[in-house]
Amino acid sequence: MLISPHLSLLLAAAQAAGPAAAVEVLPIPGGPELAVVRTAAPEVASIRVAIPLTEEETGAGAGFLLAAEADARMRELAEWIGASAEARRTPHAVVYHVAGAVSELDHLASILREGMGPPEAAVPEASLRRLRAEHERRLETPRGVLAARLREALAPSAPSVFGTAASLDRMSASRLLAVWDQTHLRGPARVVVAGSVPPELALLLVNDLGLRDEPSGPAPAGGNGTGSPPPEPEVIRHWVALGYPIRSGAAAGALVAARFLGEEAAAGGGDFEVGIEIWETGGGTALVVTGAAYARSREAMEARLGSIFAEAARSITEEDVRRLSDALRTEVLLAGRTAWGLAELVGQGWDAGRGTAGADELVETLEGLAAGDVIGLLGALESAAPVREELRP
Amino acid sequence: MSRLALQVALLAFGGALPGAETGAGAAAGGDRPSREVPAAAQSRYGAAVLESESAARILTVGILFPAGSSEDPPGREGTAALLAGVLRRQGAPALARHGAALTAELSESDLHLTLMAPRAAWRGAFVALETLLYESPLSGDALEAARDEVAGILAFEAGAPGRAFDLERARLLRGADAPGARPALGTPASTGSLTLADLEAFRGAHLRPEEATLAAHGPVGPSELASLVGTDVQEVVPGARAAAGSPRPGTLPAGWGRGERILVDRDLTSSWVSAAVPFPPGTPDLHLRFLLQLAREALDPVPPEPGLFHADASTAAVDGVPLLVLTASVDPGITPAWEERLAGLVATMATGFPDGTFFQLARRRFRTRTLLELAVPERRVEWMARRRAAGLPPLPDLAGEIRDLDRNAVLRTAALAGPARVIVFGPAEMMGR
Repeated sequence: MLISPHLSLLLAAAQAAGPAAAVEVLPIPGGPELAVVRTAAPEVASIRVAIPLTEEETGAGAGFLLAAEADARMRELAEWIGASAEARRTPHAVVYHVAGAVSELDHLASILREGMGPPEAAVPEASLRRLRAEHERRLETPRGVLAARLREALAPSAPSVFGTAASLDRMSASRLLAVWDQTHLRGPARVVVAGSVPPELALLLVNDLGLRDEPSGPAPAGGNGTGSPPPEPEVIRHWVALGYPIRSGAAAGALVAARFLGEEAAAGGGDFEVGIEIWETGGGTALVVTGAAYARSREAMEARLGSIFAEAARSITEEDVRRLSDALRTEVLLAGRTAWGLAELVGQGWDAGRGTAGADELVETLEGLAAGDVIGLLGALESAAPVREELRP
Repeated sequence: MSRLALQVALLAFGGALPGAETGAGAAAGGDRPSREVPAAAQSRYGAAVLESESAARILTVGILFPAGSSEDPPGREGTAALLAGVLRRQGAPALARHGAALTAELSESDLHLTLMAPRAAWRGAFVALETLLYESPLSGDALEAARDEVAGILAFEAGAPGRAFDLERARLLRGADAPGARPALGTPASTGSLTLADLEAFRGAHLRPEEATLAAHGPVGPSELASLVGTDVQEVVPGARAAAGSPRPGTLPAGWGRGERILVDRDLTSSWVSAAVPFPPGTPDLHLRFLLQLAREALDPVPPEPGLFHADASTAAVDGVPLLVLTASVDPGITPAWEERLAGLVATMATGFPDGTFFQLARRRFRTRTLLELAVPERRVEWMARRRAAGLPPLPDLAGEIRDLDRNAVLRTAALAGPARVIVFGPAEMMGR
């Protein structure tokens, strides 16, 4: 393991304001950004590295393929020492994650180094086939097509992480390598180390990840990829999707509102379908309302979608908000009960631009949330103009 | 004590649990002393241990009752499972008000409940749990809902060869009439006839705090916990070491010294074969679990077509006899080869035991997997409770003990294995028998 030139920065470590989990953000000149979450998890550590990646349409799917290939390599290496490892594509980044005994830190770093290394000379055909199949599976149903259209409308600059038919057809080993070369660098990377690992050791570890300072070649050719035929699934019902962008800071209220709207929709009756989801796209968070109805019920469904927020605002009570926010808070806390989960919570919030204390702030906000807050949000949604997509039979 | 019987859970958490060391052979001598914190004059629970962790956001409490499905009265099979289901359903709303979650895991010999509650609400959640366990009348609605759930499972599994095989294997290992060889979920007839009075009777007889062991992990101190649970709380810190020296296991009981083989002829398209390899009571659990890892690795890769066939290993104990249970589901045509492979696996392992670097690597894998498993709070409290109930240090220096694991000592343990009890289940004609 190399000796870090940045040890003096320990003195300048910034203490992020988390209510309980101590998150230290260590600024390293030239990167990567490093957050150390100290837990007393006995002799266990988790290291999560996020490589931010926003793809252009022509190269969409490259991050997924890089992650798929790295995942197989990392798991095989981890198996040798009994560690856990995975690589995966998220809306914001390619994430590499390992966990194991603190005494194996150097080997955990070597697993990450191997995973984040350059891709093989050939396109991983099995992963590409899986991605194509996934892509086609999504686009053969009205639900999948509607979701793709709405996602594109909500975040036009962030194509699907699964790629498009055209981008997958054009995928090549040289493109994968070029994407890797431009992105797997020290500067933009974010590292979260969770467990009983002292910050100075975490700094040494970061230096051992093999991240480069600069790309070695030019950026791959960009541009707007076109040529994918518009998918035409068989449509029997009338489908509508409404997307409401959620401002940062309103996430807690939106989560509670979505849970409540989901309960109301499930209990609502009618021979049409209404669904509520929260989406995290590369472009931000959105509350999405979907509906599907046969011709005979279309008007009733549209009326329902048009009044769903107003009805919820009228019926939601303080007790509902308490019950739902408590449940959400517990889900977050339970997700962070291990070093692995804690690194994920901190990393996911960080990747989404909410900082390292994003999960803590969410828990705090949920604790203080009142019915008035949720009713206010529902009122704002009621008067907002959503992004609308629909499919007609 | 099989860990295979049944899991009833609000939240599903993966991972197997290292079993408690069996018998008195794993003595508690040489401990780094645990801190005893007398905090309450009364002693509501049989024992209570705490690993205090101030940074944790969740308090995790496990309660281990030494009564499982083998306590179901004759003709009332499924009582314990149904009670666990009722408690889970009835408790969910009350616990949700505190943002808490409850899981219940039942085996033939015990019931383990796990409460997870946010730091700010754990007191209310624990009171709600105790009210549910010891005071609230059981609800008829919850009984019917739990009964429907069990009926659904039984209907789904009706005729499933895997379940029939499990039952035949339990009969082979425990005796055809042993309570532990009865179906933990009961039968459609038995569960259909169970009443609230049956469940109340089981609860009154077996869910007794004075017989239970409580283990907790989280942001509380021992006196704070003791004041609520009404029991002296032993605060523990990792570090206790088991007695030094070679293990001194006893001898195999007479019934396990000669091996046994049964063939259950069934007209199926697959066959199942299982070899239960006995070890003397007092065999160090750490050795057994290390052998388990080696056995699993020896069975990897599994037979082709993993969707259809599989092979795995587990540990169990019958009347204090630790068992390494090796099981495979294979194509009938290759069953004889797999029977030979499983029955002779431990002996094969002893001759081809990893040496030098390979042993060190296997030991490292074992250490990391064990530490990762026990870093999950709900697994940790269950492990602590089981060890405390067995009279062992609740929180040993596991990493150190595994680091010090001696190849020759494990090899000697492997050599103590007795002849296997083997069950072959499937179409005899297609198996060439």
